Amino acid sequence: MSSEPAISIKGLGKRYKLGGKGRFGRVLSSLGIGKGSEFWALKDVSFDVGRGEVVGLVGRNGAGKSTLLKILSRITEPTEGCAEIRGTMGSLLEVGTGFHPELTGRENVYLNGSILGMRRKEIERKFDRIVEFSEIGKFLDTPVKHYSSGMYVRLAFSVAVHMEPDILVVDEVLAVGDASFQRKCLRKVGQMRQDGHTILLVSHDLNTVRGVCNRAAWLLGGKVQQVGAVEDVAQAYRQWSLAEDERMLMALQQPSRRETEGNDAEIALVRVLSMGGEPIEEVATGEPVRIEVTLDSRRRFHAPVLGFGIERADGFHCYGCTTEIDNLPVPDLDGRMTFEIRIAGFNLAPGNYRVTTGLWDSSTGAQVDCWLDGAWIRVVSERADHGAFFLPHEWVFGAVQAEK
Amino acid sequence: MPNHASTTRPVLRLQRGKLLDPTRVRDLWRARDLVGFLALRDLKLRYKQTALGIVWAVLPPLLAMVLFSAVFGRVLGKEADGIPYPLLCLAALVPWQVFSVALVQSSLSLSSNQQLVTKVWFPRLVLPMSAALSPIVDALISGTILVGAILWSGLPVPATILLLPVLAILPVFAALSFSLWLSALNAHFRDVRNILPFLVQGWMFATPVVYPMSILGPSMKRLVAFNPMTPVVELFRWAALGTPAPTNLLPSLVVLALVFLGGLTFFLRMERTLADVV
Repeated sequence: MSSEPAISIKGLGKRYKLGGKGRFGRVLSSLGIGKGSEFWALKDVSFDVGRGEVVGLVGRNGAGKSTLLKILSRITEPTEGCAEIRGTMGSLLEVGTGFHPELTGRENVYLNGSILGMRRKEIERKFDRIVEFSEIGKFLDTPVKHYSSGMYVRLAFSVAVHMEPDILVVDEVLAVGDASFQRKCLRKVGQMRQDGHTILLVSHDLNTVRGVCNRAAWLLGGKVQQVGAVEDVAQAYRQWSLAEDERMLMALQQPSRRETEGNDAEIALVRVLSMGGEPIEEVATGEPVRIEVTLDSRRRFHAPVLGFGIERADGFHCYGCTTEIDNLPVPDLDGRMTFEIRIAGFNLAPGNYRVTTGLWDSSTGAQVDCWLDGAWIRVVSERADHGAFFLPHEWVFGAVQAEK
Repeated sequence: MPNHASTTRPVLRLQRGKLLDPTRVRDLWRARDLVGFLALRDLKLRYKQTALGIVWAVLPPLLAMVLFSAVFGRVLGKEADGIPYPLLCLAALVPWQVFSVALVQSSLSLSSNQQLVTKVWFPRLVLPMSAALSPIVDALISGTILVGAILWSGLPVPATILLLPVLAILPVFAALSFSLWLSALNAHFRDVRNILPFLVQGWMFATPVVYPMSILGPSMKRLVAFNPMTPVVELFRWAALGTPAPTNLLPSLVVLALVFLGGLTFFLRMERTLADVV
């Protein structure tokens, strides 16, 4: 095998003009003479894809993944730098490009195959295999507008995977179709990898990338942040991604304002306190906390039901409980009342959590008030435990012997 | 294993392009099947779900002939150059119909195939070419009607009529030459779509379609000689009806050559970033 890489990308950059002001400015700038603002979707991107490698491209929306694939697919040309492709190349940025609903399955196979760069003879030779892989069977001569979306995708994908180029560039298309067809497609990708094809694929699903790729490249803001073994890149990207999520959420982590006028009673204040009674924003995993809730009512409620819950910033419901579940008598509510929930160990993994609280009228069962984010708490830890929770545990060695 | 090979593997270098690149010609030649498939698609789609189907290939020139005969035939007389007016009109309408359909479809081909252009690479010339080619099938059918009409009228059928299928490439080429400009422009400015109907209509009256060349004065004759469609229409009449062959070919040939070469350059220049603007 030749040692030259299948794809070598050198200092690739792509500039987009955003267009000038007004109608006349847009006309000028689209003709390339105006001076509308510009932005670089890609800048100084360099890396190689070796022959027979399967490389995953990861990054957030707008990181430049699609622009890079479009340049490599020859759909648009770079503003600077260059890329060299050694071998025949097929690209699949979308499943079913050029499929026309009025044409039959058979007609679309020829049209789509031809659009993807296959010659007529090649399609004729592969036709039976394409149809077999798609499991379309007797609907081959039916216009595809009568197909179910699953059939449509299967036929379109079958054409695409039978391109069999030396180098395949794929954008987020493995995520289509039903689960069993997806597995079939992933097997096909695996088989192509074994046969020595080079594949560059974009996926938002880090697990897919880890499953099929041996290397990965991470794009951030149009630049290459990291290239290397898939596990290294995936881990670095994941860490950055979590930190980024957190940074974004910090801005949102304020109790929401609510419209409570007209309620017979309302949750007026929720605070997270240390055991010493100091308001806190941060707690270490496993430390005790007190959640203090203040209620205001305009009439008397006989033995109301109170509830609280803990929700992770991404919406995952970690825990919830009510006085009803705890089978606890609650004193009547009239005017202002404060109560506390004392948690002996806040056993949650590091992250951001909101405290939800609720109040129910026990005579009618109706919810009187509910506050989904009355307070926020950040959990930190110096330990590196995995998972969502901290389960208090101990390790015992030689326990079996000891019991004897 | 496809990758056993070797140092002979083709190397494709992607960078800010040069205008003249021999690989572009090779790419276009390789995509010739695609031109056929796309032309076939356009043809099938034009007649799918129509009650009359392929009859629509024949009806427009026939209906236009009836219409124009009723309106202009009265003004211009029943005969011109010894040929019944309706026949004179039909012989010109057959190539004109091909030209106008080809021009419109080809000019809109980049924007109407926007989905293809932004998702997959192929030589973009394939699109205006296939769109300009598909009306040629209509021409073969309406040409048969023309021959039938001549036989029915009892006029002598000249041997040159066998040239009609070959001549049918002329209106296609003329339409392609202009649509190289118009399709590329339409990718940027959809205004082209709105102007097209008026352009086609005005152009028809600037071409001796509904009138014979012989009614024009010498200064008008010199003017319409610059219109590339003038000799095309005249050639069709010459081949089908035995009217005099066009003589003053040079002005229109020069215009057509300039439009084609300029259009090709313009198209190839903007093809490279087409996906960013269309």
